[in-house]
Amino acid sequence: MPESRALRLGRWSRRFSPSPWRNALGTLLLCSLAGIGALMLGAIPLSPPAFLHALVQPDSHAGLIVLQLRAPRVLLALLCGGALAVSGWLFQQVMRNALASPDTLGVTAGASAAAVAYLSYLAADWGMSGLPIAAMAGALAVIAVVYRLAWHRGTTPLRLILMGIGMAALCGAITTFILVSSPLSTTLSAYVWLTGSVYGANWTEVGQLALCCTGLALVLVALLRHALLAPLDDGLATGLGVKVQRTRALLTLVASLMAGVAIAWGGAMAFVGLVAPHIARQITPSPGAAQLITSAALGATLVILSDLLGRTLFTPLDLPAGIFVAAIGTPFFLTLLLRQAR
Amino acid sequence: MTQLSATHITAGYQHEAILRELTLALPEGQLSVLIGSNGCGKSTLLKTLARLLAPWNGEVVLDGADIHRQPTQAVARTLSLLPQQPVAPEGLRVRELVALGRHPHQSWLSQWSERDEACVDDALARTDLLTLADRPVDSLSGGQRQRAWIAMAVAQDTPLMLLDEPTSFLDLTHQLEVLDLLKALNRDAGKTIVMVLHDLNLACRYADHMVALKHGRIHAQGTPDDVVTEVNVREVFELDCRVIADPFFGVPLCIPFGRAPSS
Repeated sequence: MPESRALRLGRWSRRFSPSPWRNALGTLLLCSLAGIGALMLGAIPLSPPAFLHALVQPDSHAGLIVLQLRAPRVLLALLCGGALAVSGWLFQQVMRNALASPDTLGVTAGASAAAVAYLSYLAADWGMSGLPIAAMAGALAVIAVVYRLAWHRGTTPLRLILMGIGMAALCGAITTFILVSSPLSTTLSAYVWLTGSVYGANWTEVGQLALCCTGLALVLVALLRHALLAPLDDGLATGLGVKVQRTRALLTLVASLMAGVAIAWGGAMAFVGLVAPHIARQITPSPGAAQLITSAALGATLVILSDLLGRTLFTPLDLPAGIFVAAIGTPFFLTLLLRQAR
Repeated sequence: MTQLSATHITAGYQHEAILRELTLALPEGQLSVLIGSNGCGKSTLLKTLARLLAPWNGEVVLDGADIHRQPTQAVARTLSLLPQQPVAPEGLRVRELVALGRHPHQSWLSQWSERDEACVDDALARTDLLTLADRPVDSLSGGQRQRAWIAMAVAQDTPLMLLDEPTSFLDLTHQLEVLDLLKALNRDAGKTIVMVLHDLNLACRYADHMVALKHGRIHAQGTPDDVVTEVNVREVFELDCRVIADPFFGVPLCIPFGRAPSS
């Protein structure tokens, strides 16, 4: 039986149910284990003592491997996976649709088209550091166009999704056009980016992404109670005193930014945004902060494990994590759906 | 005290006006029922009164001020609304759904005050849902679900409740259950209740005040005795009928014969 109790401190008060939070802690633990595993394993596997030794001696050979090569990569995977999962969760709430994700709203396709265009036309002159900015700009431009097209005395979730799918198709066509009309070397790097990869991550990138994610997470903490009301239909929400259109626009913006930053640094592995919130909902059906954290932890775990598989399974090849995101995520996802259908 | 009225409102969708120059004052502390044939504007009127729809002309006045000029959260502390066929978010339990009703009273800081908890418990008790409080909303029957929605509106703790066809798609027993519940809220908790109902005879039995609409205008209003007459029913519903006194409740009882030939 789900029990709940009240936490109150002065004017501050929250309803607290232990079991969703137990699940959230469990998935966070899982995520930490995956992270530690990913730090220890790789082309040169480290035993637990060697791993601990590496941590205290950052200048040793093993220390360099763990702290300069693996740690940024694991953290980038963690942040990308977490942000995509949060974005997907938020989109599913706001669009009242279990199939909504950064993909369906066109955010991924917009970021991809912009990133591929940057790689093909601008990277040679401006270098790679502009890539995340281009991807972000693409994501935001597309969600802005989707919102504008869906606007008719306010928007409805269904109109947004339809416009999103349309824009995604258009951006997909642009991406393909650029790919086929570019030299082969560009096409290859663009293709790796499109699959989603945290290859060659460094601490600067981790710092930038962490900063963005922290900022957005704080906004989300402030908006969470509104996100929980978003699945109610407009009439009900208005009746409860929600400014429906303003809240929807704000939450859509936050979800797009979340996906945008993750895609900007980790590439288009946005399947995480669909699958992680779904699994979280299965574990913790009650919508709330605990479900959101569960979702984020699962997204992070999925990308960390995918990257670990990508760099260990076919050594010396280092494959993009995005391949394994779909390869691990899909069977898991389908099993859950089948179990649910019975 | 809480007063809801409409003065000369014209409202509708796109380019089609549904309500025309309608003026109405809802009696405080009473249970009012809006009746009328399909498409007469009952739901549109309810939506306009609940500020879901902005009137093109005229204004809806809540406690002396235009409802659209008041902060929506403040309005939600005075007026609750249950639309037709509401859809519950997935995975929600009954208590969580009812707790959503507390939203207009909450802030970022205070999201589960002692008052919130007391109101939710009270709403669950009044709607006889305490034993179902931990069940998922998806697993409830139609009648139970409708009670859960009403509990959410009760937890909102507003002096005024608007309900759009709260009994549609329920069997007769559950229709009576819902109406008894609303009548009890009106009588015991002193709530002003305004609802749209399709069943004329049930409306007569439960309403203190009835408003009959035709083509977006008020055709008749008053007690059930004033409103439900053979002439009015013929004019409002284009229905030939006989109206007799209900042998048990004394209110008008309408026995329908069939569609009246249009005059």
